[in-house]
Amino acid sequence: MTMKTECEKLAERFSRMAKEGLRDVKFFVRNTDEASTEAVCKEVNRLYEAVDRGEESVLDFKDSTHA
Amino acid sequence: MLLNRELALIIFRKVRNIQVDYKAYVLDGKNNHLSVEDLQRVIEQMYKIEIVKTQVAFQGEYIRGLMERYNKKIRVRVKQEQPEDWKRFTAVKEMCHGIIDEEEDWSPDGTGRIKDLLIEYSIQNGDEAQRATQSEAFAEIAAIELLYPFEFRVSDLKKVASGEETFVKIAIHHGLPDSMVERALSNQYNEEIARPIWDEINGN
Repeated sequence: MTMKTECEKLAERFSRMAKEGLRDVKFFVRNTDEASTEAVCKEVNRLYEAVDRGEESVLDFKDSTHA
Repeated sequence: MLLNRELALIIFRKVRNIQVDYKAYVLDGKNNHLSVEDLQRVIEQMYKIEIVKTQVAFQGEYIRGLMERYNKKIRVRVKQEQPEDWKRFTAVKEMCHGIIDEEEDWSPDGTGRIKDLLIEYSIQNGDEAQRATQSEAFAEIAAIELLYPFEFRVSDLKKVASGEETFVKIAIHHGLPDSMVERALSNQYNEEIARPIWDEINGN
């Protein structure tokens, strides 16, 4: 059995998400000169694994002038 | 990476429209520190989309955040463990995709997007980058223009030159990373990209 690369794993996730209605995805990547595609895919996988574990919360900057 | 001038003009016009609506929406007169929450409401109303912002707890050195677009919804996920000014910048930058992207810029192929982005950000071959990669650069530009508008930069440039102001002090005043202030005030950005476009939009 061959091991899937991080990018293959991520591609499968986005393929599933596209079937569920995802139309577009964009990334904010830093250190682009040091980053390999596989390393960035691995990190995005890590992000979604955290989301799957529920390690995600609402981001409210509490700066609305209408509060 | 080269950016398309006509596209840049369209994006700056969209930023101006958002700035006008934001000024009408925001309640207090403080315009140096953009309210991200009020900006979100303005974008949602103008573009008839729902925006959901979250922060995600994960370790990493490359990803600051990402944006997912669905039919009438945008989901912005921001890395939790990063300074507050970077969280603000990341959230605004990702929300800006809701303003600047056209349907031809959309693709759910995230891995392809990452590959193109890493190659095109590093190559200076004089060719115009693909629309999706330009979209990332334009989203950063739109975030700079919203968080640190051009009207402040004209006088700040003189103050920085005289030593009256520093990038760090300006960054704290406006609530964005000091590296973005430095970029915003650079000759390469402010004089060669932003000023000519704002002059054209303002009819100067």
